[in-house]
Amino acid sequence: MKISKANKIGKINPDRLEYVIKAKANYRADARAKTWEEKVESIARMRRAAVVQKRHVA
Amino acid sequence: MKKALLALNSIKKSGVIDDYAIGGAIAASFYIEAINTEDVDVFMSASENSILLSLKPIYDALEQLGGKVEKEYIVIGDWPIQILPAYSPLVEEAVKQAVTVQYGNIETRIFTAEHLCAIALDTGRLKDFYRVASFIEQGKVDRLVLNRLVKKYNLENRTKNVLNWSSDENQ
Repeated sequence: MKISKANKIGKINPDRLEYVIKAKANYRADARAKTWEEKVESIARMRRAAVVQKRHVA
Repeated sequence: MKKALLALNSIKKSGVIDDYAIGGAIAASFYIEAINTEDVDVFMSASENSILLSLKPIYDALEQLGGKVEKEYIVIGDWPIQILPAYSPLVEEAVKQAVTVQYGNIETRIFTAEHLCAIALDTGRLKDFYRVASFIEQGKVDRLVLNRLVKKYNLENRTKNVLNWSSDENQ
């Protein structure tokens, strides 16, 4: 999709904005639909990723 | 997490503790979407004799079940567990009124949504206010019950930091 100069300057592209809002809404709906176990497992994954990132930076 | 819950249930069964309740981000994630956290906050009633004296018997019992003490945590499986005595009347009430839930096939106790929000207001960091806003936005908190807690524990002045506090007409 070609982004016009005006949109680049204003940083507002209605099509792109709509896509991002929809994607975020879907992501949040999926996140909320998870069971507690699934949510805790995703927190554990975030923790593991943070440890790897810390090691990488160090 | 299952290993940690089984260990906590085990020390409860063997009488090392009377009972426990999970608070913080892990408990909040039962009600709303997952919240990143480093540890599991496990609260115990301050009326328990062992808590008043020392947390050592609890840590010792958990170590015997495979836990490893690291700084203020005891790590069981993948999870650092922080054992905390109920440090205020609000938290004491939260422990007493915690609800029993299932984590897979394991029974455990967590704070109610209303107590989690009241404690978040009391703690008062930016992320705590955001958490309360998430509970409200997702309709996961009984506003009448929460408002009673806010009044009872003098938290009214904290509510102005929650952007959507007034958004619910039923409050």
